[in-house]
Parts: sequence; C-alpha cells; structure tokens
Amino acid sequence: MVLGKKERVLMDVVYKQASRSVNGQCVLSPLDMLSRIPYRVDFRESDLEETMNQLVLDNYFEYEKAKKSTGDIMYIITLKENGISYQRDKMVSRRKLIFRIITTIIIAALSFSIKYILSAIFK
Amino acid sequence: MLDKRAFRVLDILLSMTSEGESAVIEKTEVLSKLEEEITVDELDSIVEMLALNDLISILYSDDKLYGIAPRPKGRIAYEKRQQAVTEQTAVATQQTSVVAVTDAIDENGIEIPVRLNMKKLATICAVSSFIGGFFAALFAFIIARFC
Repeated sequence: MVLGKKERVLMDVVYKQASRSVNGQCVLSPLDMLSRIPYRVDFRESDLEETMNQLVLDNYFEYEKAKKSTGDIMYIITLKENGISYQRDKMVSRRKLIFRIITTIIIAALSFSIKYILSAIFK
Repeated sequence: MLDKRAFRVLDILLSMTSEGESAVIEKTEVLSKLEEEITVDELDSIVEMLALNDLISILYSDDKLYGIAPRPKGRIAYEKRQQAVTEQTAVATQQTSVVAVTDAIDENGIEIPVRLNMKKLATICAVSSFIGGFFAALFAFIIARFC
C-alpha cells in the first residue's frame, strides 16, 4: 500500500509504540502523537483524526477514543493486519526500489555500450 | 458468581465513565478508591471476571492502565445499585429503629435487606417470655397441688 507523507509519519509513530506490546496495542494522547512527529513535516492537530481514519480504512489499525479521569482524550490503538506487517513491508519496498534502481543503471549502461559493441563486431 | 467486591470495582470503574463512553483508568486510582486492600493481580482477575460476565469490555490492559467500555448489562447493574443505595439511605433516615442485616446480593449486586424492626422484636420477646413464664408457673402449681 502506498502511503502519503503524513500517513507514513503517523504510522511510524503508532507502530513504534504499539509494537512494544505483545498484542500490538498502545494508548496515546493526541499530544503524544504530535510531539513525536518531526518538525520538518507540516502536521497539524486538525490533520490527526483525518489521517488516522485513512489508516483505519487501509486496515493498518483500529482505534477507540477514551477519556481519562482528568477529561483528556486518549486513543486506544490496536494494530491490524497491514499495521503488524508495516515494518516488513517498508523494508521489502525499499529493497524493491534499490533493485529497480540497479536494474535501470545496468540497462542504461548496456544501452550506452551497445554502439561500441556493435562497432567492434562489424569493424 | 460475582461477589460484593467485584460489584464495588464495577461501581468505581463505571463512575469514571460518562454516558457509556470508553475510559482510560489507572489501576492505582481504582485501588485507592476501593475500601479494602487488594493486590494488582487480584484487581486484574476481578476486572477479567467483570468482562467475562459481559458487564464491561476491556479495550486495553497493561501494568498501569485499563481501557474499558461499559456494556449495557453493566450500565443497568450500576444504575440499579445506585438507585438501591439512594432508596436505602432514604428509608434508613425515616426509620431509625430499622436495622438492615444482610450478606445476600442479587444478580445486579444489590443487597437483599433483611429488615428487623427493633420495637416489634422487643414486643415479641416480652410476650413470649410472659407466656413461657405463665405456663411454667401453671405446671408448677398443678404439680404442687396434685402430687
């Protein structure tokens, strides 16, 4: 699944917290999540639930809103199929990308050198 | 079957939820509100029992926190208990001579009171002892007279 920048960044945060527990669950407040997102990504508080809902639709995790005794909102997040394999999928897609780049370089080099090979054969 | 302690834990958990919403509750908070001292493991097993009896559902659990959502059955039991407590307090203030002595609880955790009216009890004791004494005196008279 190809994720957007915001989705990827949020999923990194969620995965890091949820993968620590055996059953792939974690409890996070909106502030916890936003504080863990790097500053270079333009991620607002209003983007949070929208991005979370998109990840829920893509079967990465499900979440439940709960209130603490202090009245603060917390998200109880449980990883689902795609979420559990998120890290592995990331590594696999990186490997695929590297492989594609190497293949492209080889083909480009081969294409460039065909002229000289042909001229050497038919000299 | 759930005991009084389990229903007290249920009351504490549901008092922290509002209008059936889920809540994140710290274990230490529940332990501090419970009148008796229990361990965290005992509290975990009570909460699991409540979930098995479909009174709450456990969304999340770790060393420090519970994430729970009240089930309709749990909500009904909690509200009935609150109502029963209010009624008992109202009745107790009206009848000062009434003593409620009970160990029994029904399926919603409401105590089944056995009401003893002290005035009635005292009257019964007095009348019984008078009748007993009367018959004892009568037999003693008959024996002394005819034997």
